[in-house]
Amino acid sequence: MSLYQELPDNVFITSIDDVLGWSRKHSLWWMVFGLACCSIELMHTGGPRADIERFGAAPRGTPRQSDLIIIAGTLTYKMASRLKLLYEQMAEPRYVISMGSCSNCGGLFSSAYSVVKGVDQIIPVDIYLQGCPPRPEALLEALVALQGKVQKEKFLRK
Amino acid sequence: MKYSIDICEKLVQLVSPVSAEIIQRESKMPIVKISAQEVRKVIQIAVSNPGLKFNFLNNISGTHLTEISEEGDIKSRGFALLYVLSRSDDFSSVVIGVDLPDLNPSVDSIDDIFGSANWFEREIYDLLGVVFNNSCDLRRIMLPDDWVGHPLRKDFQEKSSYNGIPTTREDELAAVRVDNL
Amino acid sequence: MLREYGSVLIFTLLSIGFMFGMLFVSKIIRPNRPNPMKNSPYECGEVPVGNAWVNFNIRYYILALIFLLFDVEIVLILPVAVVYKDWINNGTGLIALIELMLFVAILLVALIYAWGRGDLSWIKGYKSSEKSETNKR
Repeated sequence: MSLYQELPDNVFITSIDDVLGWSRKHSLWWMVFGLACCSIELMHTGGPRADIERFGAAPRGTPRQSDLIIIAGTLTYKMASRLKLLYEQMAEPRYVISMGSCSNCGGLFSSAYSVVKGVDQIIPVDIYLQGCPPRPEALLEALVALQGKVQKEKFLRK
Repeated sequence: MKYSIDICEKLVQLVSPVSAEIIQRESKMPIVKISAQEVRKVIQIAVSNPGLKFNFLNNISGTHLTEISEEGDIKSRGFALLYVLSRSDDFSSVVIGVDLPDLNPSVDSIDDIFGSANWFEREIYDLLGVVFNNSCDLRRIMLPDDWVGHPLRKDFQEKSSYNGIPTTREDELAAVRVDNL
Repeated sequence: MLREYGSVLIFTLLSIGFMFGMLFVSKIIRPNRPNPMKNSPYECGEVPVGNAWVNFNIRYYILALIFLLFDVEIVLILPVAVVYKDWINNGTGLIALIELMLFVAILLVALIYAWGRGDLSWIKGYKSSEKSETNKR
């Protein structure tokens, strides 16, 4: 019994959509998935100067309690199966921010034998954030862009 | 880690029935070269002999020796392993070098003398394919367990996909690249 | 006086209704798409091995047992404290005190027994386990 993406397209519920979008975008709990150097910048984003928690985004350690996964760092083939399982274990609606060059396209290590050339070969990505590593302010901008995406999402319509 | 030619000479002297020669005498790191069958014996003497008393295994490294011709043909000439031993009395070190053949390279494992040798040997097995006989635990350490091939060999060819994940990425910016315009 | 009870009833009904309402609204709004991979137990991305139910330490059982006994004791002592002033006015204050102290003393014997057996120490040293060995003999 779920109304999620159930109502046909000709039903307009603008204010409820707005309220739902507003409330969801201000509480995007993210799963900490720092793999390499980008995770240092991720830690700094959680620190006091660029504070990610003021956007309502609290870091979680488990995919069960998170709506967003920030993949910060180089993904190797050995880790790829674990990432796939973790993404599958997140509850919908779920979003992915790919942080840094290594998770966008393999980055600096794109000619290496053990590196996945881009995380979108494994899971679907919503926001690609470039940088090596991206500054904390850049990650906040990615989060704000994702918030824009969440706000515009027609949550109850198909 | 002080390397000195005197320690190498002493080692060569004390392992005397075993034939050892010192190469790279004038460099900063002279290497005592022995044959692959004598690795265990030499290291045992280096550890137990009171004149030597090496008690710390610093490193075991390996490399794939090749001759690359001008057209890019790779001709393999075998593998070289280096064992770096140190002692804690005066922090001096000695380097023992071993040459291995090209086909089925194998050498005896020293992980009962030094426990830390296990991970070094696992890394060399994983990346170069050198088999360590009588090792307590020889399996891949860095690459996934079902990986095929030994990447640090110079003639390693990357497969086109691993478990369904493609190993190349199409060039998404090809249309706007300057040399294509 | 019945009126106050009425306001408590309405308060209770509102709070229960609020709780159920929230859960109901969540249920009809959120997606529900189970699949085997999603339902598998979380083990940091690895395929789970072994049983999730493991044996836990027996100390918790002993702790709970001792707590239960002394909690019942407290429950029986507290009403005495409420009506004690009336008993003093009646003149039976001293008798009540002696009865109460007798009750506490009987349960104190139980406490001393548990203490002596070493059941009150969380970290079992060798001494207390030896003691229980001798007690068993």
